[in-house]
Amino acid sequence: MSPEPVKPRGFIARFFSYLLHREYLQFPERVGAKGLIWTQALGRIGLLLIESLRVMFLPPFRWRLYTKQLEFIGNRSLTVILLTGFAVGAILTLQLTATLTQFSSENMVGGIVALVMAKELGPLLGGLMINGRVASAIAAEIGAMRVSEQIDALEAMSVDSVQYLISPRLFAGALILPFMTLILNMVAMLASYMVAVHLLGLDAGMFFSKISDLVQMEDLFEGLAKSVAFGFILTFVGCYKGFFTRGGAQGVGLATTQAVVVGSVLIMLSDYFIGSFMLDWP
Amino acid sequence: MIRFEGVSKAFGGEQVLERVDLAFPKGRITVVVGRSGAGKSVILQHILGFLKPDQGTVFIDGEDSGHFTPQQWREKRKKFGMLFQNSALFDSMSVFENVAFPLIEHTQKSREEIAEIVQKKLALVGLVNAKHKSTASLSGGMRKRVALARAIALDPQVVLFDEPTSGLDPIVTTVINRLILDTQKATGCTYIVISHDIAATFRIAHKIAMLYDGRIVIDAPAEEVKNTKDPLVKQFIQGELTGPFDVFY
Ligand SMILES: Nc1ncnc2c1ncn2[C@@H]1O[C@H](COP(=O)(O)OP(=O)(O)O)[C@@H](O)[C@H]1O
Ligand SMILES: [Mg+2]
Repeated sequence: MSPEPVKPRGFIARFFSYLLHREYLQFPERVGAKGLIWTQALGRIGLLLIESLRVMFLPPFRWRLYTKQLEFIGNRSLTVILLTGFAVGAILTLQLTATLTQFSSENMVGGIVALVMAKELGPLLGGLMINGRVASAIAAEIGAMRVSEQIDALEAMSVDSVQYLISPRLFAGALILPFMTLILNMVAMLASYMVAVHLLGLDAGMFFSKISDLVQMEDLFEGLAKSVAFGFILTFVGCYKGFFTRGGAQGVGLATTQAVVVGSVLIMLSDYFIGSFMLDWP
Repeated sequence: MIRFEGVSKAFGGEQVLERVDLAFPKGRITVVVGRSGAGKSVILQHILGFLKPDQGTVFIDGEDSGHFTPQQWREKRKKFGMLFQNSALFDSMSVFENVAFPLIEHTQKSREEIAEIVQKKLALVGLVNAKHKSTASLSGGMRKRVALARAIALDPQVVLFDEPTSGLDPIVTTVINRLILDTQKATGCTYIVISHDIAATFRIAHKIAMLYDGRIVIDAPAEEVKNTKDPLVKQFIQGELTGPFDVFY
């Protein structure tokens, strides 16, 4: 075996080495190989997505798995949702009031916080917080089942593993996230009210009237629609990463961290695009 | 009856099975031996339909499985029980729930009936007292026994064992061997055992096949294999380093 060629360090040295060794000739192959891997991954993602949605509507219906996931994704995220809502509502109100006072419009603060929370921050922060908890937990659980042959055992016992493991999680995620977002928003407004009215001494009547002036039902629904998408995304990423885990305990660890990172990136990306889709300029 | 006819399988250029002809007779214990990495588990995966042969045919109940739809495979698998190499118990469930799982999934039986069957199967493997334990708290030998109870919960016609005694101490190995013999005698099922444990193999096998280098080098009644003159088989049975067997691979 010939010794590994020494890889030159630094960008410029690498560039000349690249030219010298004619590595550019391999460029199409490398792109091709990468492209093939990506195409395979995309195919897998698409097939898993379609399959998990298809078998959701086929018998047997294991209701208990659905309620269990609703409990896990919803109930157990309650603390983190309450904390987040309270903190964000209080912080936003404090900082905004300080700025708005410069324009003598500090009475707007309730309306602005409500609008921002309903349309944007409620679903986004709720999605990200639950993603941190749930996508990793799902990836770890399903990944551990994969590497310890439990998924094979399911299939060996004629149980559809996608239907058993993935469909309930997707459904529960998409269903429960809007409720969690609503809770987060309500707590945020409570915190906002407490800071604005009790701490900073603003007028309670103005606080509420600005909310109804600025926030329409559509804004709230836009936020909830987003949170349905986020719930679906974060559970699907967790399931996908877990389902295709390889390589023992190390593989499970990798799947877990990747699920959180990929989940949060996809949530933020889709937030921007869904938001821009639904935005109507005045 | 399960039969392999000229089955070949390769993974990325590595030929794991090469024109394997093999029959697993009804109501008998057939043991397939071969060293680690020989492709023994791959054989089981073909029987379960997890893998498809590159060439050749796997016959299940005399039917060519090549045309089975996923749905048909699921139907066939209901007649199989499988004991995985590392037991593959569901760790989110208790011992009882693990054994009850196939019954809940595939029968319309009442809770009481299921509890009764589970009780009977756990008694068979001597684990009635561990019924409500979580699977995480069990030793390797106990896990194997729970997995065996789960594998035979639905009274399958065929039970597959992937290295049932590997990694167990000699006493537990004997316990598992006894269980295999006893449950087979009691049910008259077809047992297919994958193993590299020679002593255990001779204790339970009616028929032995040996896999070497992707091929079946011997396929005969246990007695015949024990007295074989074939140097390759003899060397594997006796675990010697010199002979035709390629020790370093
Ligand atoms: N699904 C698979 N994909 C790729 N290679 C595999 C797969 N299953 C088994 N192999 C390879 O086939 C060979 C035999 O594996 P296996 O049947 O597990 O051996 P053993 O006889 O120890 O059970 C190994 O080299 C393994 O890497
Ligand atoms: Mg194996």
